[in-house]
Amino acid sequence: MKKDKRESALRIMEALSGVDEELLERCGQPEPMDVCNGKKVSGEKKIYGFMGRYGGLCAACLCLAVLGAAYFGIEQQQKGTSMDMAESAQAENMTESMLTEEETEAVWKIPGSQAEEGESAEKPESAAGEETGMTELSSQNSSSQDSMTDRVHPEEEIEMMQEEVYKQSENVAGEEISWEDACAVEGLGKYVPDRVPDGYQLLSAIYYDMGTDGGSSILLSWTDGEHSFLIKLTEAETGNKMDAAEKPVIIAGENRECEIPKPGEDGITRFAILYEDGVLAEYEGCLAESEIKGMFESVNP
Amino acid sequence: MKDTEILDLYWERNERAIAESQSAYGNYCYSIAWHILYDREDSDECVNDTWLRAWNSIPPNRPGKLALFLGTITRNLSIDRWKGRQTMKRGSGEMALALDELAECIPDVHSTEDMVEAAELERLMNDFLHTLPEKDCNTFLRRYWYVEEYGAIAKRYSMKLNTVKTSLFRTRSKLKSYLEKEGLI
Repeated sequence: MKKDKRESALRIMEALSGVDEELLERCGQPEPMDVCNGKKVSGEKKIYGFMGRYGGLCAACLCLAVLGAAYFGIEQQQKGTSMDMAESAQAENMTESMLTEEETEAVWKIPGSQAEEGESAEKPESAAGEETGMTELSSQNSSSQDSMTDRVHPEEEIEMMQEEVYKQSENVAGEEISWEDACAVEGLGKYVPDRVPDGYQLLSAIYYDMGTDGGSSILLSWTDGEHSFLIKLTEAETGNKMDAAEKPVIIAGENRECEIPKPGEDGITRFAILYEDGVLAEYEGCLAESEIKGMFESVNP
Repeated sequence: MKDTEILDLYWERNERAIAESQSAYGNYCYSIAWHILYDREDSDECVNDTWLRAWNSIPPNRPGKLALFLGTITRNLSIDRWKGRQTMKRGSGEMALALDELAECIPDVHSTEDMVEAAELERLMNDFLHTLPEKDCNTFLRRYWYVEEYGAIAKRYSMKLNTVKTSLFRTRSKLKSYLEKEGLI
């Protein structure tokens, strides 16, 4: 079957030779190469000019300015209304014991680095049509039509997350690796989830080696074409990791139930799991609670 | 020399046409071959064969866009050569990766014998590409016509690498749906 698909792909590749000239012209010519050295001779003019390069930045600055003005206006209103302050103080006094039914369902146990007697979480089955919709990564399924339309996660968001994580990696240049290589990284590979929600495919796996002092880390990101999430696995001293995570940290391997933090105001859930051997798994994304649970339950170090 | 002048040389059966084609489009055709074959000798041979094919086909052809005409010949020759040397595993490059990506667009229940005729497939691909936004279409063609690396595409269009990957992922998904809807199987 794989060979058949390859041959069919080759036929598509060949069929592209008949593509309309106007479409080919529109996408520009490739950079000419030196026939002798196989090196590129000269660069070509960028097709998308100032707006293409800086349009996003301008838009971001404009949005920040609008948000800042709106926040300032709201703050002014709040200062003049004492009743609003009293109501918000009452809301802050609500205790953890007032868990709603929804929050109760969110608690789940995370397998630690050693198997616990009868305590390891039940892994969701990977049968088709399963409610949790988990998929084996090796099956390479295409995107599904799951109902996640109410979550907005622009493609720029995953780039911002990755930039943030990149900064945390102390500007160390990463090396893009395959999923198989990521699973084989010593100390970290066993924490790469075996299963992810249906429709998601691995977008990238980047390996950062920060030397003997800083350990190494892997940054994995998945996408279904519209939404994305990422997991960063880091090995280092526990103390340093918990400070660096800047997220709620869940201790794995302990015999207690843990709660998935709620999404922030931006709709993104952020948390980290600290495993017994010091590996920290940081998650950022907008998956549903059940999907997050199923994914991390598939991790079996 | 302008394209029309080069074409006139072909029509006059003046062998200078080959030299002028080499001068004007040699690097362009070489880059197309290189991205597919990643081998200098094979790429050189494909480019040389391109001039021979062009010489044999002009006349009666008189292409409107000489660059694209020559580039298409080079591309076809390169793909044929790539197919022929698969067992030798020579060179490396994006071609195998690009094919694996396109294989995702093939419906699961399918065999090569069921594929539509080549001309029909060309028509389908053209129709599909015309449904795409310009940016997605450009990215798709740069990846699967020119077989360029993700980084080169990102640099060309001032896009981020992950944006290119996401765009291609979405377009492949659309292509798969389109081929299924058109009854590819």
